[in-house]
Amino acid sequence: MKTTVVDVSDVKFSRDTEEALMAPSLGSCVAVSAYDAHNRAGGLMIFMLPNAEEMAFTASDEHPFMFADTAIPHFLQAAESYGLEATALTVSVVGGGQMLGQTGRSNVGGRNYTMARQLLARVGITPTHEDVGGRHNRTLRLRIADGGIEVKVAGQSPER
Amino acid sequence: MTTDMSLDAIIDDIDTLEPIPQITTQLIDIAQDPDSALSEAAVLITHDAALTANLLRTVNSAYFGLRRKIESVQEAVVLLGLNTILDVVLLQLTASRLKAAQAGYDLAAGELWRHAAVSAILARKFAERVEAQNINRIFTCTLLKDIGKLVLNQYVYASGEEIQRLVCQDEYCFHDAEREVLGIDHAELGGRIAERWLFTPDMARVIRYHHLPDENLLEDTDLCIVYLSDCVCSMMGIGTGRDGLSYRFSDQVLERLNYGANGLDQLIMEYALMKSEIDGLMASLSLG
Repeated sequence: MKTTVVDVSDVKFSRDTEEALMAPSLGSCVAVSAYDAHNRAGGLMIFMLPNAEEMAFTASDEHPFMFADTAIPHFLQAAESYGLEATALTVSVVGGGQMLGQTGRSNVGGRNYTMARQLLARVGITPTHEDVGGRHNRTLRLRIADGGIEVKVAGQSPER
Repeated sequence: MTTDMSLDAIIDDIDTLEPIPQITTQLIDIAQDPDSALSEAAVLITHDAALTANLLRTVNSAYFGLRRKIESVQEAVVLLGLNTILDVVLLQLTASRLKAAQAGYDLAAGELWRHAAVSAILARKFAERVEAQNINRIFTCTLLKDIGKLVLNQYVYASGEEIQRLVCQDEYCFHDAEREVLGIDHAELGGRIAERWLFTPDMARVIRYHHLPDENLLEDTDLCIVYLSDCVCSMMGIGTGRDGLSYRFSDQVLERLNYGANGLDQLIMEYALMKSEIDGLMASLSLG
């Protein structure tokens, strides 16, 4: 099976049933995947930080997938443009790990996850699969053939 | 738990580590000496044919975007500046030592070096921002901070389950778990290696304490910068393995370096905006 790596602050879609999309080594970043079983097509996006508006980030047009608040709407819009049916989507959220002692503002991973959940809820999406938090480093694979999700935690096996 | 005998075996293993090429320490000395002449570094590099060839290949790559072909080290130093040339050379020199896979840490080939290199590049950026005094030393210490993992790898591999249990069930930091199980952690071991390789005491100290085990160390600006660059790289999942995010984060470091309430977000954003530049530099390094 061909594996295509998705970089942070980026997105990829596929309808190649021989392909898997992979988000490697997720620390505090969060990967959101969407899969349409009817069309056997899916997409994967990784963002790094929760809130562009809060950071007065003015280059969101150039970097729409850096922050959750711009990344998630862009991702859902791009998914629709790619032909994924909004009503048929299964969505997964993976990552958002945190270091010991990261609370409040410094808990970037936790804030990333919270922001992702809020933005998805706003458009009526509840993730069907979540693997988030903790002090793990995760690698996520989305199989385009069947929408299967595999999460490998560094130092642990097998995939879960 | 460790025995004195196994701890001795680990420390003895420092001698089995292939020493870093002598030119590395000479270049580090030049980098730290404000009175060094550009020509001194150029002459040293020129004496090493392989290093010179790699350097010229890198500086002539698309990443540096120079209009004409550079044909000598002297020319490269004049055009790109001594700091850039030293960074490139040190990245190349350490690559040969840090590239191998480290199964104990669940790091594939190239990952330990990638973490070292990206965190060093970030540390230079952070150091420039706070106008630190010893920017070249900060770069070098960051590059070599995990050198202890090369020795400890096989022991972490053998005791992986026990270390993992302390980390996952008892909320130990990874280096505390290493010390509990093996009697020494990779940072302390790195400090000892630095001493064995005759690095300056300041460099050995930064490498030894790069996980900031004590709040009293917050006074050391260099150490705070090395620590923050390591944290950002780990959070971004760059060359992180089994130890992942299992280290302690200190908000006080952000205050110490005068970052505001959004400090950590700013640092990550800074990395994000540099990412394509960093990827370009990494791709341009001819690692042979």
